[in-house]
Amino acid sequence: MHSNPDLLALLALGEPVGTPEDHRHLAGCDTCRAELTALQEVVGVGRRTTIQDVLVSPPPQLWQRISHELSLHPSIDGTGPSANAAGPTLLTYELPDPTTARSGIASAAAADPAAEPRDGTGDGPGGDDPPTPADRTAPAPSSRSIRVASLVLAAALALAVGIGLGGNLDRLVPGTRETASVELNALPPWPGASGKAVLEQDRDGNRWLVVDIVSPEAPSGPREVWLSNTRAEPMMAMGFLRSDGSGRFPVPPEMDLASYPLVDVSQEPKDDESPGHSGNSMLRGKFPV
Amino acid sequence: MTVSSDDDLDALVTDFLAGDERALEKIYRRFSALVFTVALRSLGDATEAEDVVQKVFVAAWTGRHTYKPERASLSAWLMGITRNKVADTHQSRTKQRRIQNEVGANISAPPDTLDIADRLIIADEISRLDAVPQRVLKLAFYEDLTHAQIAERLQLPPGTVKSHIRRSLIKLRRRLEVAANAQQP
Repeated sequence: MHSNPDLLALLALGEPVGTPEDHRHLAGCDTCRAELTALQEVVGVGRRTTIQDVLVSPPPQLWQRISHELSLHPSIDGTGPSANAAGPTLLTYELPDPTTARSGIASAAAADPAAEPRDGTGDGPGGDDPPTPADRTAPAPSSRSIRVASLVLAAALALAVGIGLGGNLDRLVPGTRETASVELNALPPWPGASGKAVLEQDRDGNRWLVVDIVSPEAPSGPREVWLSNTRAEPMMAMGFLRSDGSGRFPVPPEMDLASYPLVDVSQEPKDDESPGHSGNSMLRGKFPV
Repeated sequence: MTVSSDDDLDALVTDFLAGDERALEKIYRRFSALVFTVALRSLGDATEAEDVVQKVFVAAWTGRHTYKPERASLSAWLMGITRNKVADTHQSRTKQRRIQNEVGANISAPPDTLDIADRLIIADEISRLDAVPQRVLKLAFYEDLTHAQIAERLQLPPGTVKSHIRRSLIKLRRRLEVAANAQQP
């Protein structure tokens, strides 16, 4: 009998699991070994993904070029419900073109309401607006839509960086300097909770959000850190705090923090099916802009 | 329609192979960012990357009869075409430079599109997993937690965590499948 698939998955992740009998079988079975190798490859690629591995959407007019070249039926005009919205943690926002003087996500969004960042939770059934005709007839966009696929992934990476080093990482990373800090204030349902958020920049110019919280109430599920603008829309998921209430999250290089000064820590439900904010905020603070 | 589950994607492939133009549009919506990003990362030029995207989807449509779903996942097949188009662009740049006899032209080897593509596919697919399996996998990948630790952290039964891990890894593997062998139409 071949190896249990669960066992192969755990072995691929490097967990020391399985009985001697399991290992004997694996050593002698080409099928199971090939399966394990394939899974190990996936794990390897997965662990090599970095914050840079973020998908960038091509400009909206590109579909028209393709459709024109292939002489597709004009009714297929690229305005159908987006299939690209499926990524549950995707956030779409506008990044200013470096050749323009404007900077900042908020200014880009303000200049073009259609480009307003959205978190995919508050929209229609598809969770993502199809491009409107106005999008396509607008003058050449001065900003490029960036699809941030991996914010949560990035946050998880930060945790990976931090794991084993304990709290106060800022003290342990040479060349890192604090650029801003803010006390986090408890919201009414969370009396006694307190915390602090610090922005840091390391020697290479990478920015980090370091959060530490203390709460008298035991976690009822994961606690997640968010950055948002003053309208709390969209909420950018930065990642989950560790069980000791601390976390260190990389800030994507293209993210304009002046547009995301609000720090929010949420209590997420234990079996959370939704990638969005639970609505249960514990603590909030605002970085001075 | 959101193309998230394997079933949706399978149905889409069937329609695509049958010549349904709407299926091409949906495939474009689902994968154009992946193709564009791979091209952009390799070429470092948005205009050239856009041209690659156009060529890839045109080639995919005109060469759809060469796609064998049983041999490669759709993303792997598209990545195969993308790699070829990106390589063509690098090549024509090199020629261009020779023609112009550009002094000091730095003809560097194209970056490893294969690993970039794999990482982007995986990062994208992870982001498309449902919330709970996604959390489980991220804890396993990036925090190096064992399934028992993940079970404790997320307060889930260990058996549930194990099956999430298995299902997610198998799902990701299907996306990477035979990316290296994907043929150009």
